[in-house]
Amino acid sequence: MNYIELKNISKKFSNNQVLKNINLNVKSSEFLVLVGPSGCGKSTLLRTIAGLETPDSGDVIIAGVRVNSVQPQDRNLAMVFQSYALYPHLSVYDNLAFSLKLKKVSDTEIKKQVLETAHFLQIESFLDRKPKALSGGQRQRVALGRALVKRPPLILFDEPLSNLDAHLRQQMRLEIKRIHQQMNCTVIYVTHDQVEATTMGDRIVVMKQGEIIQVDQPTKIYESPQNTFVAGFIGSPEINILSGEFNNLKMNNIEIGIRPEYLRIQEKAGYQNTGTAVINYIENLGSHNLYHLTQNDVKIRVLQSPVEGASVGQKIPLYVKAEKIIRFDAQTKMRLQD
Amino acid sequence: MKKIFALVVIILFSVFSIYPVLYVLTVSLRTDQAFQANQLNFFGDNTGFQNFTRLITETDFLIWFRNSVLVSGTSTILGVTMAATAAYALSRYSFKAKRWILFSLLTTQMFPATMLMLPFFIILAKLQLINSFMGLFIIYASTALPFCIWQMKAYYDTLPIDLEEAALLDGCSKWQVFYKIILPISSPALVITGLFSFMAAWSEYMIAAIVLQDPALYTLPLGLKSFQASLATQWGLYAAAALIVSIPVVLLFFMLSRYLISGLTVGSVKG
Repeated sequence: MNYIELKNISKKFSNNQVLKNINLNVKSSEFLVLVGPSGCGKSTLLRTIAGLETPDSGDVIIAGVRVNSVQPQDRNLAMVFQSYALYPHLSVYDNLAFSLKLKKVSDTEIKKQVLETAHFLQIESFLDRKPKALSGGQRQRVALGRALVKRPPLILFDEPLSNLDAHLRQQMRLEIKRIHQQMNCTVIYVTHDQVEATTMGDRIVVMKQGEIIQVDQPTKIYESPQNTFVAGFIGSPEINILSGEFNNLKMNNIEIGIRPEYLRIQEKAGYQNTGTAVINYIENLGSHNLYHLTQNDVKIRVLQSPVEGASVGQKIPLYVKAEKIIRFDAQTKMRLQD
Repeated sequence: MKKIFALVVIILFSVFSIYPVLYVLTVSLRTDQAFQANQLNFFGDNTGFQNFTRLITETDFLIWFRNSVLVSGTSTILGVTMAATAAYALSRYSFKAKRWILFSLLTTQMFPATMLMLPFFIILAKLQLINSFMGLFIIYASTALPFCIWQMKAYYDTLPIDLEEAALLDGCSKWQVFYKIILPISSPALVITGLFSFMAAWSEYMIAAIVLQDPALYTLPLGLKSFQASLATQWGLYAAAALIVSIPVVLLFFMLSRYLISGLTVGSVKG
């Protein structure tokens, strides 16, 4: 069952068309990720669902009710902001209790709900502190707590982890997934980080310049990107998009995409030889190396476990897993069916 | 060497700043005849607290003090309330005449107070507010308002909009967002704005002189001026009164210095 339906949503700021005829359904209890480069309209779309922006045209339907003219506070949702937006003059306890007090919930019930939420997020030990006395990770937990304490059926996240360091970000990714699983609420999560998108989302919506380019499960988007933009945006290290000639394939009017992990500089079963290449640079990623090669003036990235003896300037054979090659139309940049 | 130089400069500036205060203190402790003495004598035959005693017992000083507290306090509350709300609207909402309003507020600051005295007098006379505190409340609050609005607006502009949106989503109405979130976190700016209004009203003489004619309604600057007679000015009383007048402002500064420092540095650093 769809919990949210967006129908023909358009939004313009001055002369800038930020959202162009967006149509999207979000299922109940789904974890949907909106991803795209800066300025693609993902945050505006989220804020439109929250009621913080009004669409110029189209309908926002939440739980079967058209909410275009419903105030944000009456939409029965919570939002976690990139800046955390904690009230600096209130203690952590009062930050969590704020929405419940406004709803005139009894003091005993407020205390019960705040303590339950604090226990769930392991923030009981600093309930008396003010936000400025907390670390970035702790603030993020409090911001989550403030959203969860209302027990909303829908939580919106606007790039909530972008201010955290890599280690904390990974921890909080797991934490947010745990919350989603336990609370069984619908989540819409905005990020520009494709790793967050693919690791967290049940489905991913890839946006560009105010339009939805592709909506699908992370694996399908990774394996079958609809065009070269999606192919390039999802996946790290970035996909190789090649034109001209590759693997004895004459590419008239087509471009091909091949992910770095489907190329090898050592022979391996299932891989075909595709000529030779020169190593320009080797990036050590820990368990794997990223080899930057040149073949006929075309730059190619290869991701594989370190090869002993491989060094910069060396001429090496290049192998490809041919069935993983994705073909795109050179003009439209759209994926061609196999 | 650098430290010694800095110390010398600091001491020189301190003496330069403190000397007039000490001089007023010595004058307040002497008889009027000894006023012209050049030394800073705090103890001696001609020194004592007689000026302070006379000030309290023989003049209307306490009435003027009460009047000043009433006038300055009320115009500060009026001015800050209006500035806080007007500045919020100018900071957060878009409307047609916004730029024009901000510009005209700034323009009012270009005219000297003396130029406004006649129109003020005519307006107050027509409203029958001459010789009433209400007239002063209105003028003090309205003359301080443009600067206070700009000051508050500059502060509001530094507050992240996310806070207000979070409060809206938590269930606040727009008015609740303002008084439950914005006002409490704007206390440094409110304190500075309030202090500015209070000090301006506390030491104002010219407008008070045209509005208040009944000595029972005099504020402190008018009362102090009344010590100056055509033949003999009572400098001892004047100095004693001047010292007492400065006490509330100094106390306010000490009490509010915590806010003052944070308020003055608002917006200078990120986060």
